[in-house]
Amino acid sequence: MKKLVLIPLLCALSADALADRCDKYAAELAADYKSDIQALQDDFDQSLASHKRKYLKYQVDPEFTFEMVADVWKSQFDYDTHYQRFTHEILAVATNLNTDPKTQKYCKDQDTIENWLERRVDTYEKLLGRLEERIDARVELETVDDTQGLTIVSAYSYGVAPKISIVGEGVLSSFKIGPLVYDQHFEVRALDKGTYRWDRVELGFNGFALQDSNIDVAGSTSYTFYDFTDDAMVFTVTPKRLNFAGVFIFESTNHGARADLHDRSAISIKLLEEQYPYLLHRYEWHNALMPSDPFLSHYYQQRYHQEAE
Amino acid sequence: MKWYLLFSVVFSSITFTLQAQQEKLPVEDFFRRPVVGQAILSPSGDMLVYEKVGSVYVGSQTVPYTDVYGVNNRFYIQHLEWLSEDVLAIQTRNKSSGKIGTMILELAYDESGVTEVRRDFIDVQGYIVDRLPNQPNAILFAQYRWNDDKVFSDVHKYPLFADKPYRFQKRSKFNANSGKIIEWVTDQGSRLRAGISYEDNKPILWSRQRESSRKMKSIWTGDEDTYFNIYGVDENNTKLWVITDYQRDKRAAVVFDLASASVTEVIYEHPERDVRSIVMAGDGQAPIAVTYLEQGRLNRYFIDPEAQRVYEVIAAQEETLNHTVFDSSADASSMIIARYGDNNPGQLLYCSKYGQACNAFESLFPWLDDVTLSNKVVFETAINDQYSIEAFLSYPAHIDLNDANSVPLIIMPHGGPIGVYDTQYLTGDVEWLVHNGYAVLRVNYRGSGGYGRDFEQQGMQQWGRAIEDDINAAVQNAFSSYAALDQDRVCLFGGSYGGYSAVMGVLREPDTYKCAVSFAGVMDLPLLFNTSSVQNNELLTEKLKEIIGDPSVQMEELKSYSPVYNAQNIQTPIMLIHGTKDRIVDVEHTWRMSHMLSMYGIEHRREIMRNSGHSFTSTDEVKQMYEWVMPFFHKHLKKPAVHRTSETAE
Repeated sequence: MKKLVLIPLLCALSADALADRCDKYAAELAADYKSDIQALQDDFDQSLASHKRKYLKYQVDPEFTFEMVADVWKSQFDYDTHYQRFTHEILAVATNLNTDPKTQKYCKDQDTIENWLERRVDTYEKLLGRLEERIDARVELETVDDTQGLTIVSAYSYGVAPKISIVGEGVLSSFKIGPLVYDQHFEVRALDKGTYRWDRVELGFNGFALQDSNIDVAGSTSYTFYDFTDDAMVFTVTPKRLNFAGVFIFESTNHGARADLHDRSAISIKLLEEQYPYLLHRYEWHNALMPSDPFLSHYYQQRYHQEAE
Repeated sequence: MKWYLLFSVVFSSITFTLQAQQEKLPVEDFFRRPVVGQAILSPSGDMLVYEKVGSVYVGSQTVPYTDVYGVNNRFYIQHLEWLSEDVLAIQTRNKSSGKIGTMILELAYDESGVTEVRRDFIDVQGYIVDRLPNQPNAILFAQYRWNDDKVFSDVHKYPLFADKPYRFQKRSKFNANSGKIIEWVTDQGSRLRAGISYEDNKPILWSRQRESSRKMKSIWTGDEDTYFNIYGVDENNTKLWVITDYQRDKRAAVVFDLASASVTEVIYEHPERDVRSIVMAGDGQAPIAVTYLEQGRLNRYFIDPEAQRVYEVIAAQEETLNHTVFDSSADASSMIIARYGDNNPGQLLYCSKYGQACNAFESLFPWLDDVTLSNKVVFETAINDQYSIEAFLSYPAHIDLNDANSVPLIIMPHGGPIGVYDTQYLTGDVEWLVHNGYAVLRVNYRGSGGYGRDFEQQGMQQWGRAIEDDINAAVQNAFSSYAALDQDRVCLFGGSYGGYSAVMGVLREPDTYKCAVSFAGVMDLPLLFNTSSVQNNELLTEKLKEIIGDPSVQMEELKSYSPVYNAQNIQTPIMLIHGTKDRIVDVEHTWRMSHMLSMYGIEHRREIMRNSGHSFTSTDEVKQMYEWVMPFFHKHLKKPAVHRTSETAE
């Protein structure tokens, strides 16, 4: 966002002159804000168009259009509300700076209002970025091949978990999720068939997740992680199935950390219904953590009147 | 000395209530801890130390009680122990890290109070094994150590108030060839005499090899889950005073002979109850009584006639109240007594002169001193030729049990189900419900603890079956015995197994119950096995199979007794509450049940408590739960409105 030129000597001018100047300033401010937001919106729309082309190319189920898939994530991110807020309501604040008694004071405090608008633009940019990322990841699931299974990768961290590594059998099978700070991770991934292990929670160099960043680490560069290899927290991905792989629960304590892998099919179903409704029936359901658990097939049978397996 | 065990048994379970017509107290008041946590007499019985809300007070009949030490709210006082007449050990524990520290204070007394002379601090985790009465400047201290995930302890002779800090080095330890002994016992000469280690849930008894050597050798191994608790060593160093259930159905107080490694004498056994503890004299040199629960209250069998005489003198002063001995001097001339009753929240008495001079020095629940407590009755119900089960009915004091249909009933099955039990020492939950006008029934169904191994065994793999039969039988018995209980206004409410039982209750007897509330309830029996930590723990997995059943061969059976797989049959309003950090019964249980109920279109309430565990750690959590539960009970247990039609006289 362009920095606006401060209007000097406001206090020395008459009230009418001050009002005129503020009106002019507000108009410039609003125009700049609108331009920035529009640029973000254009980028986002172009990205969606690109994802749509990819979706149409690989689309598995013709019943579910790209718009339906994108709308799920837009709903998850409460996109419509944010869109309204960032493109209209915040713009109106800038436009009406001098006419709204609550904002008139910013005519004399332009740094504050400019910084505030800059932060709004940053926020919207991040929001659109995260939304676009999830839509992209969802479209990617259309490209799953016959050696892969759709797998629910889910974790919750009570504490700071900068990176959580999951190790697969193949060289390219391993991956990491995070950071998670008192928060949950939930996604469906296309994973190669085989066994995976929740391996470690990496705190990074000096206890911070700087290993993949461009920050130069001064002083000691000891690498810190909690190793859960011995806890044998494993799941096995079956190809062409929707694999319920359990939920990895991490908790940092005063003495270190503990982790456990829970069979949480019901919670996963709830999140699937919210976030991946059009994948629910693509494949048979499979409990990749505890194959003997009868719940999934029972639920599926009761709900959809057919056997899951 | 096991006084602190006795102390915690009584105090951790006592809560109190008010009459319904009295002003409503906040729910938190029923869950606050007693003001005093521990109280111990000095070896002579002349001085008294007690902990009150994180502060340690010392005094006597002649020395004013003085605050000598305190901790902030990040710590609590875990244990108090006199090392001599003027040296006191105070063990503190960090609430979040669990780390134990031991403060040693040397004290001086005069008529103005108590002053500290000097102090020492042991900054390693462990416990005091022996106060070495003949060596006033040292103690035996067992340091906890960890090896291959096993905890054991090494004993050190710790010099008190030394100029140079003592270093707990491996080579300076006092014990030798002692395996993984965790619990040490010294004889009356303060020598390490015996120890206990555990392997595969079996206790292993170690004994000193020779008088001239500190080397230990294992002399006896119990069976799996054998209870074996040593209270002292006789003056000849040949016998232990022990409570055990080794090769017997019920726990008994016995003499264990070290030479033959066998039980040679039974001091006391009860035909129907486990013995809970041996009360040792203040100097630890002789047992004076044993305790057991009878009708849900602690009862005692005196071994020492003088102690019995003193106790009877004290008890005669308030015959309507219950008295529990917390501590006694060796000659029984001084005692600390807890006095409480149905209408008395409890006071601590310091009695001297063989019970002739008793002074109440603290109320346990001063905020409840002026209130009336709930009434309680205990009754038994025969379940087969061999057993009857004990049940506890608590009800508002203003209710006449013969006044038909005057009070709604809430049945609270306890958790476990194996080895856990209810007593007359009411919980905050019970008293809060009674305070709100409900009667509460608790049942020690088969599988409950305190009635011997066979009774516990009878509860194995009886989830939803014989256990529920027992609860039902007790409920029917209560209905037929106490007309006041309104059979049309009955709900179930429990936690853990109790939550499971509540939901199974409405599945089995939909016409009997108006509602059910499950907190942290098991809803899917096979799911109990499905976390990595259980799967990777062979011992735990086997234990769960024993208690619940083996999913690999009994899956259909386990499903048939799981609420999740029977959810379509729920016809009664239910509320499911669960904490997200429950590591015993995962929150998934409640989600599964809720999913199934929603799928069948069955109305229910689901409340998820973020960051709460399998039990509560703060009164805020209690308050939150009851903000959901009380309106639910009110809705389903309120008396139906009476619709009158006007009639015309002909």
